[in-house]
Amino acid sequence: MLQRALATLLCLLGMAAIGLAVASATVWRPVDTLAASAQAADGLVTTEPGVLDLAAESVTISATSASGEVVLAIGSAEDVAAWVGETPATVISGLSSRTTLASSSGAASPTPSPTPSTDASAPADPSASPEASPASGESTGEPEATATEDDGAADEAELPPNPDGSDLWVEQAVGTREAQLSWPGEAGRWSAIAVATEGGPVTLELTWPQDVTTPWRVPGIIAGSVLLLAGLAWWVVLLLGQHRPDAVLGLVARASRSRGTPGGRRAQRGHPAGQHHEDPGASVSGADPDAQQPSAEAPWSPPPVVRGAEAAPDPAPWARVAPAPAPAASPTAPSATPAGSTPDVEPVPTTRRALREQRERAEREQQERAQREGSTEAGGAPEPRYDPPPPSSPYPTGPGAAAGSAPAAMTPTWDPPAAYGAPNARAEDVAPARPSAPLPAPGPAWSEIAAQGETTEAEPRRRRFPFSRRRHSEPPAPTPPAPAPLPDLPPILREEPPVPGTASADAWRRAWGLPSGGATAAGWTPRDETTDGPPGEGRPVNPEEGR
Amino acid sequence: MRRTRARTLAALAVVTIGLAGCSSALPTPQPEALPAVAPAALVDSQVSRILDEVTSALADADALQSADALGARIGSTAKEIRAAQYVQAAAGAAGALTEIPPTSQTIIAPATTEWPRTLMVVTTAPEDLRAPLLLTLVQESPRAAYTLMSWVRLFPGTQMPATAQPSIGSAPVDGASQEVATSPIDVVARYVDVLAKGSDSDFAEAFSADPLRERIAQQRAGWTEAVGEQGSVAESYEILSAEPSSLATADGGAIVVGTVRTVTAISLVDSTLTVGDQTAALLGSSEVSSSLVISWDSVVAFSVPPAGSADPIVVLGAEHAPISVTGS
Repeated sequence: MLQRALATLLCLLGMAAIGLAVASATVWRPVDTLAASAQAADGLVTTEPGVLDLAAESVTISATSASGEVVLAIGSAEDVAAWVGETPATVISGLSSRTTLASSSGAASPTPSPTPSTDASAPADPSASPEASPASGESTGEPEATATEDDGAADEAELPPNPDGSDLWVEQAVGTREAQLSWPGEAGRWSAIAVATEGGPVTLELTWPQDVTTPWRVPGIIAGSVLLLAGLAWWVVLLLGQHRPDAVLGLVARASRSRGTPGGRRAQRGHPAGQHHEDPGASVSGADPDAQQPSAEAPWSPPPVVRGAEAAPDPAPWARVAPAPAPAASPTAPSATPAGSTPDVEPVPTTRRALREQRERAEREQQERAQREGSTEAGGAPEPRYDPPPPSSPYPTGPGAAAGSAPAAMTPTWDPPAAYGAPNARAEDVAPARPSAPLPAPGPAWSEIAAQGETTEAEPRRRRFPFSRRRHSEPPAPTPPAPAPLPDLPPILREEPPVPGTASADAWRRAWGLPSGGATAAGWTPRDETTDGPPGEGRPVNPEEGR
Repeated sequence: MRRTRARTLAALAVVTIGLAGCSSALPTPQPEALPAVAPAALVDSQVSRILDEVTSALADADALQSADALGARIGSTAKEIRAAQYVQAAAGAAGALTEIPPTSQTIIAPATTEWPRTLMVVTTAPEDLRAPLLLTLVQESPRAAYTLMSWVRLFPGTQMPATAQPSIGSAPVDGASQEVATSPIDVVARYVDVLAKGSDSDFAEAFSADPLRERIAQQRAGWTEAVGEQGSVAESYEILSAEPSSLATADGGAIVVGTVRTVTAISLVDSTLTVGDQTAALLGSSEVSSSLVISWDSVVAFSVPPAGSADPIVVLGAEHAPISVTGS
């Protein structure tokens, strides 16, 4: 239960992480604009240089007032300051928060301003009025404004000067109650000025586009996926583990039935690699790959001990079992003997295989017998060789377990060196059983394949892999097949054998003074099997050459 | 389950804190430093907008033949000359109105943060294929508009001195500046002396020969000849531009535009004088019997070499137009 709970927790965490990552880029995605505003009670507001490009190069400026016309303009900071002169004005100096602008009424008190403003506005207004008509469609508003200012000097003291149409502005917008400008940003010192020409407060809002980054999205999704997959894999392992006991029982039964076949094993080598490969490949690609990875990661090394009981091994067993066959396959290819290739593929059991195998079993058995008698390598021979798989028993425990139903069983036997002696014996016993098992369902097929691979491989391996020999030698019969050391084989192939046991494999290698690391091997084998399996081509060398 | 919840909550907290950490501190204004040299006070768009408004104001007034309609964009000498031209045009004088092309071929923008600011523009050649004009616009104060103060028709073959790009701007030259061979104020004063005294002037050699000087001399000679023994002709020159408009050129010299009021006073004794159509239009009649006073606005543009240069001051162009005629 604890494991299940933890696996579930992993899944939940993974989903949560993914959800949070997605949310961070969607729901919680920061607003892509920064908008801040301030209100100027005196109806005249300007910005200090540097405020316009405060948060971004470009800015959208809008000025609003409760009533009347609003003039919004941009000019050089010095020009704006000169234009404002001593008129009371609100000056925006920056941000006080993410939504408000820091402002100060820095201008002189209203009293002094009247004089300068009147003087200055007098010349300015005339200019504004002529421009107004051609400049904007708001001819109605402007004449009035000008008129009021011209008419009463008293009013001017209260009304801010009208900046409309000044030659100082680079950009200008005029509107009723609202004016808006987009300023792309240019080198230099620029300021904005906004005036409610009929008095009253004016509100200036600056909106900058913001580059929104979603730094948590990708890593969050990746991490979440990893967690989720790990949790799922764990669950798969746990679920498979439950079936294991049954599988074991089944294996035993099969073993008793099929023991007679051993002789055929060697003949089987010649088996059509293609068939075996295809089957395994398909099966592997389906679900095994995932399972394999997790197994490789950590839990696996322990499993070997558990072998009998643990179901988790299932995925792992694969890798482990497969590896053995894989090497064999490669050897076969080089050697050109068909038998070798087939075994490699076989290790990976698939549902497809199972089906196919079931169909062909009858044929195979017949063929095998024939092959034993005749030439093992002959074209027809391959199928018969198949049946021999039982011989695969060499890796006793592994195959046996696999045959039952769960590949997990397979792995355990493989990994631990210690097991070897015993396993082998079992293997022999079990191997025979498998043949019978195959008939049942996918499980059997798998076992068969594995067995075949081992059996066929047996000879080549011995040659190529010295260490394997050692193992096998100790354990009498079964070992020989798998070990087949392949001097000729490329490095990769050599590595394959280690594949089977991840952690355990490493330990095993070390014990035997072997070089490569198990992790890589584990990863390797599954892939090959999957890819190779389905098409039969996947394993370039093995199947085709073997044939 | 407790564990799960706790872990989930912890994960949530971590993510939330991480997200919160993403929000950066409030940005602060980082204005560019004040440039050591004043930048151009006008960008191209502003110049073209100003020109548009000037030409449209001119066009509006031209359509009405009314100087009152010139508005704020036309001022000073330009307004006086234009007003006189409207009178002439109203009297039927063909081609009385100086055509001011709306497009520019050279912009000499001021580079300053002070006022007044001077903008000079060389227009393209007008449709009548006469020489292009050099327009002088001045902004007296921050809230004032650039106003067309005067125009000068460049003399044929005149080569404008090189000036800085409008985006960089040309620094204004003080009237009493010693950074040019002759200060702008002195340039105008000396030119007036040359106008008055002709080749007898001490400064005659300081200026290259120019059509304006010849024309004024010819006119004076013509009036003198016409009046003959029946009267007298006197001409006076007064500098109207206390502070000539001046902008630096690329070589450190200056372009100086000054305005001179030329008054031709003719007194007649026991005789009458018939004046030409254009003068008659301003006068209101075509014949005077005792006196005739013609006031001219003479706008002259000079190219002053930089200090230390022995080159003469080049007269780039001029506008010499009557603004009023009185007589009886």
